[in-house]
Amino acid sequence: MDLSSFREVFAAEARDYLQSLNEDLLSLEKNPQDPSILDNMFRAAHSLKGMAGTMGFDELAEFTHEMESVLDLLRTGELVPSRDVINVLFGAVDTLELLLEQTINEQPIGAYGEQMAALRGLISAPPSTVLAEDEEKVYSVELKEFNRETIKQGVSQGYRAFTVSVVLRPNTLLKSVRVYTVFQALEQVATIVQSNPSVQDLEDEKFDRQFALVLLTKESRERINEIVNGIPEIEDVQVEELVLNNRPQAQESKAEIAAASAENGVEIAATRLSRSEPLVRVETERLDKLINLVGELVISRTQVIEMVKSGESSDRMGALDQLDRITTELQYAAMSLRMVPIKQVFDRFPRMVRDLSQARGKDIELDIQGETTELDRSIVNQIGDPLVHLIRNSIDHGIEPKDERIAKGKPAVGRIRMSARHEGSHILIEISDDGRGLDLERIRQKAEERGLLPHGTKELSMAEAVNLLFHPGFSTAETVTDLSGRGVGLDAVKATVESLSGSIEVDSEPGVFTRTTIKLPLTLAIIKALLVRVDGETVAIPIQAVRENIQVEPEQIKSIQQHDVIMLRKEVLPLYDLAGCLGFKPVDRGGPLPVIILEIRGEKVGFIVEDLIGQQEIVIKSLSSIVGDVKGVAGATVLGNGRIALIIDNSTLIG
Amino acid sequence: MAKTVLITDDTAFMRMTLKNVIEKNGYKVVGEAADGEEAITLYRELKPDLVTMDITMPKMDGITAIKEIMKFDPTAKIIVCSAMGQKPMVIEALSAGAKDFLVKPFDAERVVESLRKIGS
Repeated sequence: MDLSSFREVFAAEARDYLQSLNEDLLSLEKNPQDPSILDNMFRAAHSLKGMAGTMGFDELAEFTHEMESVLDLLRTGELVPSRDVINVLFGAVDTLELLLEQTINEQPIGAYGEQMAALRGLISAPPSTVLAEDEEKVYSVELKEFNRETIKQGVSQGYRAFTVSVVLRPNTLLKSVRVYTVFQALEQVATIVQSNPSVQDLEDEKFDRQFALVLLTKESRERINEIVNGIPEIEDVQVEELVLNNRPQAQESKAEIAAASAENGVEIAATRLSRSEPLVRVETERLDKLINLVGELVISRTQVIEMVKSGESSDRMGALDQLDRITTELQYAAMSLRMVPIKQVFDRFPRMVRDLSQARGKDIELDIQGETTELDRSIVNQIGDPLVHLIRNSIDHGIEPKDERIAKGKPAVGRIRMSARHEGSHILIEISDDGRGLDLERIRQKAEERGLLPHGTKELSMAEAVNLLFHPGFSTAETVTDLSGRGVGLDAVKATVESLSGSIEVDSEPGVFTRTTIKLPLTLAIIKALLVRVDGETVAIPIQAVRENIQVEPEQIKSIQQHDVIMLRKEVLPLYDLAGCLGFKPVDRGGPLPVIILEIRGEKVGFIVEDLIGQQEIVIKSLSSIVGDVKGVAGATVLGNGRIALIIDNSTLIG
Repeated sequence: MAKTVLITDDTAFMRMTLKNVIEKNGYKVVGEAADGEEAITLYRELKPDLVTMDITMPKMDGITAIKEIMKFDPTAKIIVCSAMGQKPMVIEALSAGAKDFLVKPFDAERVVESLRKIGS
């Protein structure tokens, strides 16, 4: 069978599993007692292994197999989810991710022996070390989910469930055969549901002296005890009636933090974020809606055709209204297919924050809100890098080391907040931290050093400081870390955001917080625009930049240094002629002039236009590569009347 | 009345050692067989309470002998004797009906425990 056509599906699903493994590991680290997390992880690893095997990706399958074995040991309680174990698992997930990408892209498979050895090290670690810590004789069994069901059913049919903990005498020879005799004896009167260690491990003598069985039987507790005691070489037997929901506690060992993989993790987080998915998953509900609307469209078309054929004019408006309604809905339905929750981006961060804060020796909690907020997938694919940069900044420069925080009377654990929410036709993404805030003095010094400010500049205002931060090449990092010192500054973040028709703002209170807000349009494909006329041409201005429309008399236009300005509520605004900016014939200033106030790079600027047409949703078509980038023009759109309108790119319109 | 035991082993040395331990602990060795066939014949003849059965023997091995004896007497109490490294055969013997196993070299206490527990 040719499976190559499933490659993309495989990749998408495998990435999902890896993501869920990552998330589960983070939760496991916080709640080592929760068995459902391990069950989830085990299932994910197991599915991944099966999928990889089916595709013939042997390296992946082999590696996942080892991981699955470790997870199984954790699940059965033979291995304790210590910090070390969790770090090895994090490393393993990273390796899997690399293996997956290399496999999918048919690149040579990199070395993964070290990670493999680390996993195998956990598997072959003598389980007796775990047992040795276990003072109690009763060796508990953590029930597997399906066995749990079996027991429930058995009990409901009048069977009793017992946990039988057996300790063999020291120096027992052929332990596995001794276990076999126990099984044999018990199976005369009972059904053995589960054993700990697993039957395989018992057979391979991968246990010390203790093992435990869970069984269903109609015999009494005493009888079971008697049967096992009738077997030679048994030192101790304990039979306990099994009560469901009695789950063992995993112990957390106080292992040293090994964060060597942190940089690697960030690297991977970055590649994950910049990867654009060729496949999109769409809720079936949305597809159904789309199909329904197409159905309605077909009906509506028939009506219109009939109407035209018969020449009847009775309900012309009705039919057209319906067509209008359907196409509008169809447009939204189609757009909704492009919308994905920002969770896809946010999900990568808990891991990154964990790894980086470990590496920096800082205690940081990440708080994520609004991850279900949806936005256009092309934005989702590009917003990752800027967010990585901002989070890195928060960890490296924002959050203070623990001692410093305590000395300042702040909570010892630093807090970074990521949130997303809709606001009108925009989405707002906020990254904030309760760290040092912007150090205005340092920013001033740096700016002077870099020649961005003349020497002897006095105190900066917050707004000026923020402007400097966004200046190309500006960096306040005292020690340039490998992470923050990559020459990608906040200016790059700003450029990316602006290329997505968004804007970015920074707010800070020194010593208290820094908050960066990114404002993005919901979608790039369809925007709301203000249509205006210049020199007889229709021009579309993206509405998010428009602040207001005013009427200006020619005599209100003043000139400062040979540049037109107008006064608006005691503010002096530069004034341009939109037609002139685009190379059309400037507007005749004979009478009252409509002026559109746009916000460009945080400043208000006025543009004279010939006439206002109104607001409309337009579909952006990019200019063909033959035309290339035209200053001030973001693209074009086809209007309802079939004419073409240029769309203004306000970031390159002036200056 | 002392329980009766049939010892099966192809080496006279092992039979001697076993007999010594068994008789010291209040059991009566009623017969000694040097191979599987002999063990079957003697079992039919002597109806011992317990049998020790070596695995590797000439003519007929212990496992075959166990199967034959179990056919004749499903209540037979046979203890299989093996060397280390004969795990699969021990398992086979146990599934053929042996009640317990002893691993050579024999530990006197283990032998007695086995006889006591299986014989009861």
